[in-house]
Amino acid sequence: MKNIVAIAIGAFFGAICRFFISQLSLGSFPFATLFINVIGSFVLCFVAEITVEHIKISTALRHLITTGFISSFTTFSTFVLEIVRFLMKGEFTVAIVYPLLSIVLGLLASIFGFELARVISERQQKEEYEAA
Amino acid sequence: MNYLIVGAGGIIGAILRYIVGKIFREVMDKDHPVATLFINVIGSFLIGYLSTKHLSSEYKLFLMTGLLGGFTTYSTFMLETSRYIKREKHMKAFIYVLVSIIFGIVAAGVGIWLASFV
Repeated sequence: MKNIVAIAIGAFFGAICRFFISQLSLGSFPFATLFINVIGSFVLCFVAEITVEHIKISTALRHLITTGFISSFTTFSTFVLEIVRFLMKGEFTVAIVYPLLSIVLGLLASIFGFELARVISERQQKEEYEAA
Repeated sequence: MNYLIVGAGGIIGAILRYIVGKIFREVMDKDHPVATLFINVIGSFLIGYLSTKHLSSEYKLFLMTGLLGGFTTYSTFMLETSRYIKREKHMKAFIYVLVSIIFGIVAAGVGIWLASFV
């Protein structure tokens, strides 16, 4: 039950933040969704890695941030709907470039998130080792 | 007010995602991203279906932006793919991405098609 409440709180704000950013979008290219999904991928991987290695947080707080906020912030269904709309309009170049860009930038952001967390964890461990 | 509608939809979507994930984890081994794939494809089908329906803007915000936006997830999809890449399982990463996107597009297409007569 505690986890459900934590997820609900995170998801409420995650969805609202996504909606807010999506309203700032200009033009036909879905920059808002791209931005949301890439940033979210980075943050999720960073948090997942840093909470495993170094920063210990409660399961409920972890659910609030990851399962709740970030997973609700990013979206797959809107991403797919945008691609389908490009396909239906016959805009095939964008229909290919958009998912390709989302995947490549999303993966780079994810790997960057993992690596940044690892570097921070290692540095902190080294400092603790030297201080001891 | 629109923000509250989206937030409320997001809560329901995320809790449904959590429950579906839990069911999948109990049925199969933890490592499989099948739960995320299932969630994202079902969500794509439903958003396709709803996108051409004549609903009030409040309903669309609640169901599409809130509920389905919160139910489906891109970040977990990327996390799972990059974990495959980190473990040098490049083929699995490639197949997972390809299957997610193609099934997602087809599901949304089927949803749109179905909405024209149901």
